Amino acid sequence: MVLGDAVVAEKLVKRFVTKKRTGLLRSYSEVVEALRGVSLNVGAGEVVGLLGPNGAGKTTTIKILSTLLLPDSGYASIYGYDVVREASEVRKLIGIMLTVEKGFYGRLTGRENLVYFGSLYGMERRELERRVDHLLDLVGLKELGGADRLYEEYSLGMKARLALARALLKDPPVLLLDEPTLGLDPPSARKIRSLVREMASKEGKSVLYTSHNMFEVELVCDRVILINKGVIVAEGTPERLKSMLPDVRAIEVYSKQPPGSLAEEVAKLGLEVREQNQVQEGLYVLKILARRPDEVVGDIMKIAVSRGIDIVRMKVEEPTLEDVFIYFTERGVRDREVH
Amino acid sequence: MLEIGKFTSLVRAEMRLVYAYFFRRKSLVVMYLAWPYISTAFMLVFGYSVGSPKFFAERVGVEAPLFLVVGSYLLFSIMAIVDDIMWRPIFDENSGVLPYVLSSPTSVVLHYVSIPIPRFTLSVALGAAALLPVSIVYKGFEGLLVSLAVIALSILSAAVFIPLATALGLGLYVTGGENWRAISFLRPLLLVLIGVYYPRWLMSLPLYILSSLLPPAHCVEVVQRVLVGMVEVQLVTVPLVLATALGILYSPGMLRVSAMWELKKLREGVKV
Ligand SMILES: Nc1ncnc2c1ncn2[C@@H]1O[C@H](COP(=O)(O)OP(=O)(O)OP(=O)(O)O)[C@@H](O)[C@H]1O
Ligand SMILES: [Mg+2]
Repeated sequence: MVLGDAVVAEKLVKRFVTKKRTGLLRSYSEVVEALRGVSLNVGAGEVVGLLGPNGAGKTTTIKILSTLLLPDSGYASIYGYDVVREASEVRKLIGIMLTVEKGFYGRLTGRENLVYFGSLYGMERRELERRVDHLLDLVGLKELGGADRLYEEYSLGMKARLALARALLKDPPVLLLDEPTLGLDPPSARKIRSLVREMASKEGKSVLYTSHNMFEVELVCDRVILINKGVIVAEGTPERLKSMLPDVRAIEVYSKQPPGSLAEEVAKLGLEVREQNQVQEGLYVLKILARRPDEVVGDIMKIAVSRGIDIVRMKVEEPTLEDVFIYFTERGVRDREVH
Repeated sequence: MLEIGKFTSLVRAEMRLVYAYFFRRKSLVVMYLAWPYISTAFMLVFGYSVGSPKFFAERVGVEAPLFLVVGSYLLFSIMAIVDDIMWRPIFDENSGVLPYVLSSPTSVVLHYVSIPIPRFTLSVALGAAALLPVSIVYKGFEGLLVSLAVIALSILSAAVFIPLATALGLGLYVTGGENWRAISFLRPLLLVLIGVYYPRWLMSLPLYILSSLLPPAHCVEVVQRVLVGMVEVQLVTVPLVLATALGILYSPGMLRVSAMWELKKLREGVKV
């Protein structure tokens, strides 16, 4: 059997009508365009990060794909099944995690909660209990002593683990995870990330993973989609996205003496100078922006020697995904202002 | 067959859920056992201050404490259904469970039919523990039979009430947004119309007709006739057939309203 893309979205549009309250009784309706034609796809076995700032439309996208929200227009499918017209088929194929901090019954233990949801999913009792036990172990809840404690006593990290366990209950081929590490401490976040990676590489699951944390997206995802204000603004591997940035790099020069005269001379070369005289660990730092760092490093050294400034070290900063994020999201803002 | 198997496992899951909430809170257990007595005591104290118990017995045809304990028990069992069905969507939404419930392959209707069963079963069992002593005190061995009849009838009341209660409950959310206040409005209305404390044969005509539309009202009427001793075959079977027929009649409405409710949720986006 040839399987197509695990997740496909084509030109999804979603508007919300909200009320602006301007007084106790006065209000007027306002239309929020949450998605303005979002198209994306996730291949089989691929982990794709959907990255965007607050209000970008990440949750809206995940909800539509999870059959929990009807789009105004556009099309989305999971392994070829339409999320609107074949929702019941789609529901068999997806595991979802929409929040870390709630979504379970407080007076049931983690284990009881999973058994409850497994029953809703129509899982057979014996198999369900085995699966639940396995998952509690897998996500580390047993290790933390949380498997048989009431959910309302859970820490955030334990809640997140339980939520991931529920997403994995039916062993679905597709995972839709909305900010699964939001607010978690590093060990819990790392656990969730490594489980997601493992699910993709060992079990071939396809994952759509939203986040606004570049660092983690770079760790987890094979490919990144940047979304801003309901529009996809860029897409590619983290490396490719970085290469799309204008190729200006920052050179940091650490010196023992104040680099004032060096800065003046460097500026004369036509290079942009930033953050003069910032002191770090007893050293002065000078930041120079250059299009081709390799070609100017020699010049900078020569000037420094002639001015009697001892350079301790020089560093060329590589762009981070965060730079990419800021570049594309702010460009989006500028584009909108022009219209 | 598949559906039945699914349904029983669903009911089992609901039982585990509801009983966890129930038994992990001791005060609730005590309340369930004491409730028919507390409300009876309250009403007796209140009743004696306005009229004599003899007058009540003459007018209604049965001793006030027995009538009231049975009535409170019935009310408690029936209201367990209404409350469960009406509160659950709000509770699930606030605890963030709803998206996972709605995105499960289990249909909304099947789920909602299973929801009241655990607490109802519980209130039947605990209520019986409260009911048996009084009826035996007042009526001896006959009291035992009467209690069993009352319990059987309360089960029937509940079963035939599920379709209407679901349609009303979810219907309120479809039309009135998340207005849970509607529940506090609907609850006392149902309370009066079901005729638990105020026998239907004493109601005015418009009220009587309105209450005829509620399936449990007919069961309650039978219970009261049994207490009074009016147990002619016709007087008992006609209301019971009527109650069952109404229950079936409201079922398509329940299906429709559930579908509308789900659609509304999907339009707005299920809250997480
Ligand atoms: N039910 C709703 N009613 C009205 N507006 C909504 C609703 N849900 C989302 N929105 C709006 O749609 C836009 C996109 O929201 P969405 O939740 O998808 O963003 P997000 O990328 O998940 O943001 P965050 O990082 O804050 O979670 C926002 O402007 C939000 O205010
Ligand atoms: Mg979000």
